[in-house]
Amino acid sequence: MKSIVLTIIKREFQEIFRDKTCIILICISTFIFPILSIGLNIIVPNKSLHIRVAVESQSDVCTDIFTAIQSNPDTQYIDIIQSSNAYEQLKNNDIDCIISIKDHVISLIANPYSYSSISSTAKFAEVFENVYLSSINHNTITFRMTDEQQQAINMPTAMVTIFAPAVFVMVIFQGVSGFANDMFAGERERKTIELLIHSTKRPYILFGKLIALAIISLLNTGIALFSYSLSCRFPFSSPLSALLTLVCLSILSIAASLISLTVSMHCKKIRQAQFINELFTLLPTGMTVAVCFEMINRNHILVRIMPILNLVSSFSTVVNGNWNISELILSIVISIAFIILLILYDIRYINSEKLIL
Amino acid sequence: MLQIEHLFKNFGHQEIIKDLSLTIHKNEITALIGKNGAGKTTLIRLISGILQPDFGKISFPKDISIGVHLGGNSELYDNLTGEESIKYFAKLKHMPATLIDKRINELNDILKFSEFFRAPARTYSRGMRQKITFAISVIHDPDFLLLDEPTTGLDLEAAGDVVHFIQYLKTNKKAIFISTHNVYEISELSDRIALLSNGKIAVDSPTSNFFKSCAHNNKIEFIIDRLNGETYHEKHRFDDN
Repeated sequence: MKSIVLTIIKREFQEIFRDKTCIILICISTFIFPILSIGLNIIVPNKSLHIRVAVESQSDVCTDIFTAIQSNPDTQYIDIIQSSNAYEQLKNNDIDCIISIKDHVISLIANPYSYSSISSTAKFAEVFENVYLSSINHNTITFRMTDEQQQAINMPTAMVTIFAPAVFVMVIFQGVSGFANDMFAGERERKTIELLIHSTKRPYILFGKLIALAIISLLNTGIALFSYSLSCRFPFSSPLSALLTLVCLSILSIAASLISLTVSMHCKKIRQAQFINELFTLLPTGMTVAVCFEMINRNHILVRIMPILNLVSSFSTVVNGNWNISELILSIVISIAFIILLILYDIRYINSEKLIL
Repeated sequence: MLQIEHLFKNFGHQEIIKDLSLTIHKNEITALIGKNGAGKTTLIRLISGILQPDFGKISFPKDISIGVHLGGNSELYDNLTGEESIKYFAKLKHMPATLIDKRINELNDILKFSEFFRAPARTYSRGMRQKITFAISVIHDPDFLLLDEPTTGLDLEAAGDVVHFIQYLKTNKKAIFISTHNVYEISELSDRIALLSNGKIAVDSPTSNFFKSCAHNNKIEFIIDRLNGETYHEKHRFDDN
């Protein structure tokens, strides 16, 4: 059995790697997250920074900061003053932000009632930390950002993380369906399936094709995960989260391979398989978006027990680092049970005449 | 060699094969003739095991190997070369690599595919594809070969190559069951003729006896008459003694 299955896997690889679709797929998996990240950076409001800043204190550190900002040629967009009544000016919207120092901690204070003040201060925080603060030499000073400032810096990353489960589902399903369509529907259309089933036992054909497709799908998922990690600067809350994400995505890849192959097996023409597999891509992707954006309750019993959807739901919690181990185990067990049942169904189908007629 | 007893096959409510019995002998070429839609391809698929009968029995000796060529119905993998396709199917039939190469050389001497068999199959003409699918069918040197309309859709030269190949197989004492509409194949290649009509074998006779009944030796008209006539009643006239 082993040598026959290996022979089938080898042939499927030959067919796949000679197909231009394979190159397109690798490109999509590699570049989708960087493109998404860049796109969100562009889409998320990013007006050019123009900020009026007041340095509150007359201390050495504040004077150094004042000098550093004033002497930097890139600071035309920063109007900086030294002020003794900075809070009054902030209240009157005469300035956007105060550079304040207290107990060796520098902080940027925005007007809490002005959106433009909060927004421009948040953007200034990143520049302030990376450019100006690093240019002065005061080791005893620490810079503390507020939550808003922190979130503003990571906004595109945070948005990519929100979209990530849906993008992964789309990449995984779309990636396998192109190859799965040819594996059975293509064989049926060309009538090579008859030569094939005359040459070897039918379940071997299923296992060979499924293993080849699952390997391609895992490879594709691995590339996408790597690209995601790089684009978002390792967005996982811990190495365990990263590992669990890999486990979830691997099971999802195998399930997607099996679903696409089952669809292909039921279709006589490649186009028919393409159409149905496109629907099967849209359906889980749409449901994932609905779960991620809380249009469907994540804790609803149907979401918990529905294969694929429950795994995607668990996967999105793993990425965010607020996963629940019992929910995760339940999703994995249900998904594996679903995979086993679908394999048994496929064996039954491939042994029937429906594959030929 | 092959014994078919009381075979039945339906597709939905349509009865394709009805109580068909037939014996195929060793070292003989049996031509299966019948109108379009008579069930010739279905019978070949049933014998090859691609389809399962609803009722009846098909028995072979245990150690026999079978090759099947589905003629114009079968295609190749476009991204693979002919050589890769032949080797793929040979490996699926558990052939060792050294034997595969030897067998490819043997087949190349007759089918002459070496000029193109390292090119992708998508560049092949119909005749080239037919040669490669033939090679796939016989790569494991089967004792019994099923051929479904092997020359249909081929030009004269390609059809000639196929006929030449069948003659080569005949000299190698293979049992061949060939479904055909080609009168030349029927009269010159076959040892026996089985005429399929209404899902049954209406005539099963040695080829020479079959054509003896042809008054003016007009084989084509004679066969058409037999295909359209009340062949059940005429069966006894063709029985070999």
